[in-house]
Amino acid sequence: MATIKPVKSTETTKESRFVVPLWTKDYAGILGVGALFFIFIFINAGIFNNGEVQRTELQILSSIGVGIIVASGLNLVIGYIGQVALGHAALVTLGGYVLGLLVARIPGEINWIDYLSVRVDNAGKPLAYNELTARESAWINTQNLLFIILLVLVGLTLILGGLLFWRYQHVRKTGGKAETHFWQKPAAMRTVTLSIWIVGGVLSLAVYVLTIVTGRKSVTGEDITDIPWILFAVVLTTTIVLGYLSQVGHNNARTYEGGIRPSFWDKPSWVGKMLAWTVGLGIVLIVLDFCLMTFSFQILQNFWAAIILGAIVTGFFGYILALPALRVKGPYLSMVTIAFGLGIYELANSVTLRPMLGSQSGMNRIPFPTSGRDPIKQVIDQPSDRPSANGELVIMVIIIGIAVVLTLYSIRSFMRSRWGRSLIALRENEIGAASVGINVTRMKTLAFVMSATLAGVAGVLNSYALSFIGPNLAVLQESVKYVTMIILGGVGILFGPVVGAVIIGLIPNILRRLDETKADSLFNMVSYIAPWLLLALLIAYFATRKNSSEGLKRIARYVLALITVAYGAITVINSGINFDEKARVWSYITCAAGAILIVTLLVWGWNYTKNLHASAIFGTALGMVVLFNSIEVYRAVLLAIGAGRGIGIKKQDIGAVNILLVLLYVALFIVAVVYTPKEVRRLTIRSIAIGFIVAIPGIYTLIIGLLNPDAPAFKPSLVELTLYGAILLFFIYLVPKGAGGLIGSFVESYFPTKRGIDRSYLHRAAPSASADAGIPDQPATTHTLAFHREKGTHAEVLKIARVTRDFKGLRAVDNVEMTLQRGDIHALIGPNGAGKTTLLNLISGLYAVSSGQIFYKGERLDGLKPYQIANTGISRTFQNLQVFGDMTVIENVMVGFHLHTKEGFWASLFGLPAVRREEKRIEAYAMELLEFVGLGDRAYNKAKDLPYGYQRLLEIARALAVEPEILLLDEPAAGLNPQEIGGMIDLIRKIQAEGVTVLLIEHHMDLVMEISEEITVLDYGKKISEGGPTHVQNDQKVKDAYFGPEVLIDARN
Amino acid sequence: MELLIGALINSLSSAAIFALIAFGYHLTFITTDTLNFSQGEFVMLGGLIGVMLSTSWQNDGALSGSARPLWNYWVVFLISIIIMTCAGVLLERFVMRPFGSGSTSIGWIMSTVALTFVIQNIAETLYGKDKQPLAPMVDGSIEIAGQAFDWQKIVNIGIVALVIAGLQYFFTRTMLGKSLRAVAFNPAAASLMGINVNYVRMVAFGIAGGLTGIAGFVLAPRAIGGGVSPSEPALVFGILAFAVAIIGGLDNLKGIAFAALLYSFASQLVQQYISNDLSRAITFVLLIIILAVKPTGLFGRTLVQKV
Repeated sequence: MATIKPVKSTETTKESRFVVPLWTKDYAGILGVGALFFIFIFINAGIFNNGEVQRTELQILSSIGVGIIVASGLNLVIGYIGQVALGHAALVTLGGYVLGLLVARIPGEINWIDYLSVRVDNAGKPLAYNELTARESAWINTQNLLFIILLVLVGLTLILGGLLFWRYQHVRKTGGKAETHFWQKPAAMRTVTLSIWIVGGVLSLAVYVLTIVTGRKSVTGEDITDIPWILFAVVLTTTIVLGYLSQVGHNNARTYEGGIRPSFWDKPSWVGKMLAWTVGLGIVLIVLDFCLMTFSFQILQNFWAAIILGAIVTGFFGYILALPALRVKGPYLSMVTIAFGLGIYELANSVTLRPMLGSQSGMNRIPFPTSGRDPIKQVIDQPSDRPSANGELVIMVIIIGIAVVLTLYSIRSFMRSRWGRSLIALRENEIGAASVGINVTRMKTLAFVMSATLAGVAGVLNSYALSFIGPNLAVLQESVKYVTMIILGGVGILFGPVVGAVIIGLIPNILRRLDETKADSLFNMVSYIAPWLLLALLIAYFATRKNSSEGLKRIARYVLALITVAYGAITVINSGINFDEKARVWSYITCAAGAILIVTLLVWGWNYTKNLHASAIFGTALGMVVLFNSIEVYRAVLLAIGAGRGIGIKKQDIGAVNILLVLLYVALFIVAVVYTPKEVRRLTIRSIAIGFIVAIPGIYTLIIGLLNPDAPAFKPSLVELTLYGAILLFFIYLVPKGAGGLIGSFVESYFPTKRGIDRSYLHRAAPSASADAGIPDQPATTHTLAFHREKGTHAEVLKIARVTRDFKGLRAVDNVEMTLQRGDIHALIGPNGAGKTTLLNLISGLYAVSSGQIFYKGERLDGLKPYQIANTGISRTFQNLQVFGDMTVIENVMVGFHLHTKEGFWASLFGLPAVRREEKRIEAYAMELLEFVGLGDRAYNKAKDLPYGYQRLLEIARALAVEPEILLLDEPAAGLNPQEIGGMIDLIRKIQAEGVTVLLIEHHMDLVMEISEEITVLDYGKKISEGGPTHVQNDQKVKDAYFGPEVLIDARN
Repeated sequence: MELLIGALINSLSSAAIFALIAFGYHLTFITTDTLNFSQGEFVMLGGLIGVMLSTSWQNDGALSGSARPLWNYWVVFLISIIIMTCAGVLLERFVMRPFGSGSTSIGWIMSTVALTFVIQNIAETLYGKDKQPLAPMVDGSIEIAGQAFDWQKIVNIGIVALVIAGLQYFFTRTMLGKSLRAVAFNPAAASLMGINVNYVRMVAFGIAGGLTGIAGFVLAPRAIGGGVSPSEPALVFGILAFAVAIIGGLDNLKGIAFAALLYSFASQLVQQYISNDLSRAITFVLLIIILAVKPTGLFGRTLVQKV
């Protein structure tokens, strides 16, 4: 089925000398994209062209760049959350409007900000814009900017407060074991913090109000400095920071008992952290000041402010959207984001808000960041159609190019860190991800907010480049364009958005150019270019398809080369012929080439595959493409019924050659349909489907011609939307891994990725980051694992007290009492449906208890979420395996280390060396663990390709990576053969020897009886027996439960 | 009292349209876990088929609504429903099924969104962006409580009442309806009981398609200021109806009917007292808030995840 799932190439079978490490490939790709981008900029900026600047080309480049940024962000949502967001164009527009509100004015309207800072003349009458001096208007803008910053800060503070309150509720519900929060701190602490915040807030507001008042007066010509504003910013930010820091001491004093991981502020190095924060804030202030200063001198008008504000605002909206929609699977996110897009469109388009947002016509004449002109003056001075200077456009596109490279780099770094890995993990399996301590909801929200933020930044850049922002940029079609880019380029592939954005970015422009000249022949042009592209894609598809035979693959590669050569040759030949003639020549060449290709492929196919059907179908598929696309067919039909006069179809257009070709194609079609054997019918149907998709322009002509013989000439740009639709359908159905994926497969087959573990990292652990977090200071050097989670002294490590769980009338677990002794192997047995797995789910937090409590080392465990429970030191495996199928075995285990890696979000985003080192280190650890469970030689297989029993071992390795104190095993021996069971027994013993307490559900009684110290027997949710193996074996109740009462069976004898 | 009756009849009449479209979402969601994102375009298509069939070709070849329908109105109505039912079935077979189904796949979302574009694009090229009105089913108006109401509004309410009654009968009294419910409850078990699940799904999409045919006709008459437009508004109807379906709970038929009424009444009030052009934006805010509080809608049931 054509479900969209990112596919990672695994073809490494081919021997090759060019084995390349992954990072080299990534960086080569990023550098390549950047280099190409800049080469095109320089070409179009006139370096090779006598200084002539190609404005259109530059604008296309900028739109492609913006597309890459937005699509790269969106790729996180579609590729890793696995849901489609259809509102990114609205987010882009939102970013644009943030910029617009900052710098653009709507002629004849008083901007909303002006209400807050109206200048009046001596008589009290408001001044018109052109009556203000440049200095004054700049001053107004400064004020506006800071006012917005203030609004954002206040908003953020409110959000923060809300979050704190929410957390408080949450913590209260869970009994406050997970983390310590603001509201749980001593009252004195709270009072100090709150009063700092309140006093500081009031103070900064006072400063602000004061400056407004003085600002009003200063219009008369007094000298104004930026000092009050900087003061204001300093006061407010210091306030917030001080408020936070006032809590540090308390947190720091907290103990780590209970195995709870310390949070950010709890680290011993908090002084360093504080210093870092202070320095960071200092930098922010300097940047702010820099913006203000440059702004006052109109050098970089609001550029940074717009970028930062755009990112914050869209990120915020992304958060709001993500909050409800990510909680449920299914179409909700799509619909909610569509609704969001419509809402933004309606708002921007609304007549009520026209003075602010400019309604339908939007805001235009947004100055370039480097234009050095006063935006207010500009509205008055500049004629509406005055183009901005070429040089500024070039600089803008360069800025976009830099942004593209930065985006690709940071997304690459992010995806190759623990963050990216956990995103991929939760895409593969949310339950499995939660079981190793990944906070699924938070990761999803993070990914969505990241993508929204990128969209906002791209929106600001886009509006700069277009000098315009309007509601039409927010429509659904635009959003779908971004999604199409990703699907075209390959879902979840780093460079997919680049490929997609380039293709999609070029389409409207090609169509528009085709509109400009004679439509009929140009329409032909489109239809003649399309089959070549489609042929190439189709062949690429066959060439890389997993189940294509080798012969088929080889043919496909030859043909691909042939097509490329032929296409180039035809282009060269045609370059001298005038346009109409070209179209005609093209038409014949295409038709002839189609026929030749079919014959060639039939012959080749037979020779290479000795499979006539396969080759016939392959050939026919290609024929179908040409057939349905051939305008001659439609010409013939239209001529026959006397329609199509309006699009210029005349009698002489149809010749004997065309009719023959049509007949040939029809015959091939019939052969394909009639003689298709069952095994390949699916393939044939697919081929015909491609034919129909390709045929859309042709069918379209036919319909128009039929409906109205005199209909006006056709414009290619009219079918732009249909084209996007067709691309979407084509790629989803036939090339699920996208063009980028195909390219990736080709690259992978010639330059396989280098794989291997650098064991030296085992001896280069970073103790500073892991001292208190459970990562060994002395790295393991033998195959015996060292578990360093601080063990408490409780002998009763887990205590289940009168726990009950109801499922709507069914009592699955009924008043069960159970205690796990430290270091034991404790088995939980019982007939099917006894409630064993339910009990395990209750312990690991997948289900909430209906009544009763669970204590872990004396602390309440019930009520915590699965990822929090993993955090405390309880990990588990699953009866229904929950491995991350599309990840490699070693990556699966690396995900398990999630809790023990400390790479920060920003460090990962910037790809700092520390992150790379830590990655190497946990990779080595993961390898150790794999060798511990005996999967060392399978490390680079995909998890889903492993046999069942090995997947069980993999789950155990992953659970061990959490470095648990208690390991819950749900039927580890299910489906294993007797020999493998022996291995499992050894493995469980080895785990026990590491000091891990094991709770085990199992049906294999010999295994249970051999290794368990303690056995608990459940039946119908009730505990019926407990004790050592011999006690349980002789318990009449147990025998009754298994074999039914009154029946005496001794299975052994 | 008169004002209230007026508002009630007006909102009943517009709720009728939303409910019709939203029922379609409901039907396909419960049986296949999927929705047709081009439902709004289907509504437009339903109306356009009516326009097309009741339009005589002008001599200059331009397509424009004519006052004289070619065929009897009700015949056209019936044809439109039949065509849209077929369209629904075809949609299931060729746009839904090949692209994977269920809440874990995004293929079907994108394929139906792509269909949206294709339908919209072709319709727009043929008919332009303007609204294409239909002649009303019944001319004239009726006086209720001192106010004049177009007959069309009353007819709309009547049609939806009939549809609800019909669906209710279908679900509770017919074998097919029961098997539809069975598939909704557990497809695997249903197929073990000898129910052809694919067939049932096609039926669900067929009915949903038929409903859009009706909705297109109910929406289009000139008398209520209606008309189908090939461009954006049709889509907006699809989204608004989805909002209604979400608010009511996608898996609850009565909830949806109630939510449609609630929404229409509320939007009447908003339009009257707050702002006409912001009423939709307000709806979307409402939708997001409701989803935030209860993701499965006001009357939807919550599902327990199995491990």
